[in-house]
This record gives sequence, structure tokens and C-alpha cells, in this order.
Amino acid sequence: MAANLPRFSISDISYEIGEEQIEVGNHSPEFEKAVSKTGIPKVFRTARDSYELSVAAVSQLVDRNPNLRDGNVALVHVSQSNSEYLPAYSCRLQSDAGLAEETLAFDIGQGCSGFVQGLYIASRLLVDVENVIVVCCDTYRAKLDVNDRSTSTIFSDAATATLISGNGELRVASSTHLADGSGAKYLYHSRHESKNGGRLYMAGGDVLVFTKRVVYRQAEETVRRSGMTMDDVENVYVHQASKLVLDELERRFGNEVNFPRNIAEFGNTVSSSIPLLIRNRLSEVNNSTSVLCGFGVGLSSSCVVLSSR
Amino acid sequence: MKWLTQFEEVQMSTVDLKFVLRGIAEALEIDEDAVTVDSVSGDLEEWDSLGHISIMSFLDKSFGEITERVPDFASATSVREIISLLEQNT
Repeated sequence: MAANLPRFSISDISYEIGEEQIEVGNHSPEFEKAVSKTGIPKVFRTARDSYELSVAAVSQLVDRNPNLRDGNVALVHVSQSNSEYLPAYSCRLQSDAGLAEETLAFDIGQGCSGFVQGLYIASRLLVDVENVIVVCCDTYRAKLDVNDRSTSTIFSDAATATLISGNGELRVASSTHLADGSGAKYLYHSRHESKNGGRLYMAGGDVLVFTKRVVYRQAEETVRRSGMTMDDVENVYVHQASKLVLDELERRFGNEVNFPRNIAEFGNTVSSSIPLLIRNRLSEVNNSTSVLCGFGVGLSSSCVVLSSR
Repeated sequence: MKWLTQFEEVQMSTVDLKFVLRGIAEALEIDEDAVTVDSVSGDLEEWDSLGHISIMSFLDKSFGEITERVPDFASATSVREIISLLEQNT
């Protein structure tokens, strides 16, 4: 089936970042110490609702690509920050971004693995539509306790809109997707006060163990299923979780592969971290073989091999 | 000396306790004397989730990716638990 899927390109990525820049080290000496471990000297917070952030990102993308208003589009909204339960944000975005009524619009409730999942699904949707917009938006700063060093020092609010067009050389050569709901207790946010006071909770050690146990092996397996070897992989784009996680993964992938990071620039932007990482590397992405790995809350992890071969 | 007493209590193990205590203190970026075998995460402000990741990083570097082999390190909340896990798995 995969052989019959259309080739595509990631043709544009727009973004909207939280409007308030926060210097992490200014909070307290303990937060200042954290910076060397997280690699995140500044984070960004928005006072806007996640929907408003999404509208801003999508509107930029549509303004730059006005043909999207003509239809033949699917719109996928990826977020775990919705403040309203219904309707789907993707439906509202269709209207507010000026897209045609004939738009396939749906939401995906995922976090750090959400972009890779959205990209994977987009590659399938291109059988029926010319363009897919994958919108990622998370506003974790509104969920967290600003004095919680584990979360407050890393998360930034951001939205991205990624345009995947059915004209290009890329294909999803293989993919793997993992879900481990037994780890739900390690990273969660609940409305209920009984669960961490209604604030975001992250057991960093347990999430790190999951990452160490899963991500590199999953990448290896995904590459194997593509019929290629790790020697064929030119770029590795992983979720920008924290410096400790990136150091660990970069060490495993080795020096032969391009392993960019931008954790110091934006912090951990959850589902938007990979789009923000590749937004200035689209030529590189569209003309090579790359591994993309998103992992975290769920616990979940998704990996795709993109290849122009 | 409390610290020495505690050291003597567990020095029969194969784990170099002093090395582990120093490593935990360095991971948490606190004074060596602040960490004893009786230390628990709730007693040390720096031993939060982020501090625990640093401790795990120290353990991995010192004991060959041990936290990947032994996931229980992720939920350890005391030095004694860490020492016990090291004794059982090194």
C-alpha cells in the first residue's frame, strides 16, 4: 500500500511563540542551576488561549500560501492544551484561517509525539487531498506551577503550522508508533485538584528511562523496516525535550549523522518542537533521508523515516 | 560522626558508598556533607524531578547505563534505595 502513496514535500512552516520571554535563571538560584542541565536559558509564555496561538500560526501559513483558500486541504490540529472541549479546534480554524468549507478537519490529542503522528497521517491523507496542514499547539505554561523546577524551567508556549504538499520527492519509508499507558502517571495534567493540585506533573526520571529504553531502539527498528540501514540516515530530528535527553540521544546516534538542536532558542515546545527545529531546514529535509522521533507524554513515541530516495 | 557511622553500617557492600554520595551531591550541586545514606528526596530541595535526572545521569556514567537496565532507579526517593539497587545490580 505504501508504494502507492503520493510523494510529498514539507513546503512551509509558520510559527507563533509565546509573547513573553522569561529568563529561567532570574527566578531563583535553583532555577539558574537547572539551566546547565536543561540547556534552556529562556522560555516563552503566552497570555493567549492555545486556540488564538493556533490561529496566528495558521493565518501566517495561509497568507503565505493563498492557494490553500481554494480547497483540497486537510487540516489536522494537534494539541493537549484545548481550553474548550467542542467543537474541534480544527473546525474553527477552517473558518478563522479562511479555508474552504470542503476541508477535512480533525483534532489529534497528543503531545510530544503528536507532530510525527500528524505527519504520518498527513502522508496518508495526500491520497485524497493536495495539501495537509498539521497545526501543533501547546500552552503548558498555563498548566504548570511556576515554582516547579522540573516543568517551569523547560516548557514554552508555541504553535506551528506545517504545510505538507503532494508535490515533492519525500515518502514515509517506514514508521513505528508506541504507546505505554502504564506510564501515564509520569506526565499528566488533570482538571482535578486531587491530582497534583490540578497542575502539570512530570516525573522526569521515569520519562527519561522511557526515552532511554525506547527512542534509539525504535529509530533503529524503524530504519530496519524501511529496508535501509543507519548508515543511510543523513539527519535525525528529535523532540527537543531537554539537553540531558538530547545529549543522550546524540551520543547513541553517533557523530556521522546530522543531529541539529534548538533547545536553547525556544525551550521544550511539546508538539511544536520538531516543526520549529526543521522550519529553516526544509531543503535539507526534503532532499535526504531523515529520522524523526517524537516522544513523551502518554507515554508515547512515534518515529518515521522520511526519504527522498 | 553521624556520616561516618552510617558509612560503616553499609561499607560491607561492594558499592563505594563515598563515591556514590559524592556523585549524588555533585549531581544535585550541593555540598558533599549535605548528602548521607539517610538522605531522602523530600529533605533536599535540590532533589526534585530535575535533580533526580541528574542523579540518574551520574549513575549511568559511573555504572554503565544502569538506569536503563534497572528502571527502578527512576522512582528511588532515598540514598538507601539507590545504594540497595546498586548492590543488587552491580
